[in-house]
Amino acid sequence: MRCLEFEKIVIDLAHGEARLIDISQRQTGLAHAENCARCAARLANEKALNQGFRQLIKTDAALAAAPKIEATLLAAFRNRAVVTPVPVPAKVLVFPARPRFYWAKWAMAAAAVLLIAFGVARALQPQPPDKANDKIAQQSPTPTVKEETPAPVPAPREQQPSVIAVRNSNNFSAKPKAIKRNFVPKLQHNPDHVTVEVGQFEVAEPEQISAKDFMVFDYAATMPPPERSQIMRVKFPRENLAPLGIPIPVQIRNRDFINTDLLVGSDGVPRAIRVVNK
Amino acid sequence: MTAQKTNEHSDDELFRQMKAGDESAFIALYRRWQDGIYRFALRLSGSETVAEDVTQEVFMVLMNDASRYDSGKGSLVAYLYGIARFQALKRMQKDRTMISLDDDDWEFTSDHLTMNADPLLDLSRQEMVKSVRDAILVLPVHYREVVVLCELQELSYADAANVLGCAIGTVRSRLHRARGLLVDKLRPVADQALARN
Repeated sequence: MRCLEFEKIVIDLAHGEARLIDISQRQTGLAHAENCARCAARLANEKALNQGFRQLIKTDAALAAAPKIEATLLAAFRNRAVVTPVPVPAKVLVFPARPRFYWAKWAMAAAAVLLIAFGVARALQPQPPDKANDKIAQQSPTPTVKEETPAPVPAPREQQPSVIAVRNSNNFSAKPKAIKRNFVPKLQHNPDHVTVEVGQFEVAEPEQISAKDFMVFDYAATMPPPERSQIMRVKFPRENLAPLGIPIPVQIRNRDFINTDLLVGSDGVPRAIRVVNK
Repeated sequence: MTAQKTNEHSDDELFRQMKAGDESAFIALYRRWQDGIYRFALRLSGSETVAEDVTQEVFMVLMNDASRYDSGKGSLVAYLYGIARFQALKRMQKDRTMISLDDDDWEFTSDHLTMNADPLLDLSRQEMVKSVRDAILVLPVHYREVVVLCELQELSYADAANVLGCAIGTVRSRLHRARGLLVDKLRPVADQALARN
């Protein structure tokens, strides 16, 4: 054996029987150390170092973390045990956990926001003058008087509901029944109903959704019913809601931003809106 | 009950019970490994405060992120030491209190082989312990951690490789270099002891 070969096994040799190396290799190494003063000294130093390690281990044997740490951890474990079993409602889970495609969630959220913006922009487009005049003609000169009317007269089928027509009544039944049927079951019973949470949006609780609060956009009445619907919580600047003619409750009227729920079809177009009183 | 679990159950068994919410299993795991983790962090950082913080953090991670441990990838103790190493290094980097030898380019050659006849053997026990402890603390971190794991915590090369996230061969070569550095560092102390005697 040469010195450089000895160097490769010197640590194992210094550890003695504790390290499993080939017996013949061990014997060859030890024989080399007997004949080579430099390697013998090297082996002695490594053995001395091991002795130093053993002394250090022995000295530190009683060292341990302070008892307060165990108490802290125990308290944390108990608190954790209380919190862990709370189940997450399945309906609030927006997307299944897919770590490899985590970006898809954000991409879909961004697409949803764009679609909402597009839909709202369409809703805010000024009406053609003749159509607007017709709607103004339908409007009562004193809205407060009309609000007191207990049973609004249902609009004829050919007269599609408009935002302005809806403005004076919170009663959803004032809108055509066909539209009402389209929306109500999907909101309350569709198991595929999802809620999207993006940015300032809040997760809507399905049990709180009530179709009667929603106001249908005028263009939505002429659109085919969507296959699926979603509720999206959006904060609107108050001044942007005013042109839609949506009544804002007194309690939140002085806010700059009003929470609303948009009913968005699977095609991304908002169909109806409601103001959230919180 | 806890003491019984400490003796009777394997780490993985205790871990499963802890995951299921068994408090005594968690305590059993803590009592089984806390001293080793504490000493590992202490030897790595040289600070009792850091060692205590690291020990607490390791078991907090164990209880809160239990799903991260995969028994197929390594032993629980390697997993715990891995967390401890990460936490200790993070804390040391933050505190910047450690001094490192500027000898990362140190190569083990035949020139480092000493001609002195076992000079370290004459160190008194107290001197030896202090000298070895100090010498370890001034090793570069990547050498220090391998010495602490393999020589002081007595982990196998495989477990140490698992903790460090490197190959067993890397552990062996780092250990070899680290020990060479320690011998060089301790030689003057040994010489002084010899001169005194």
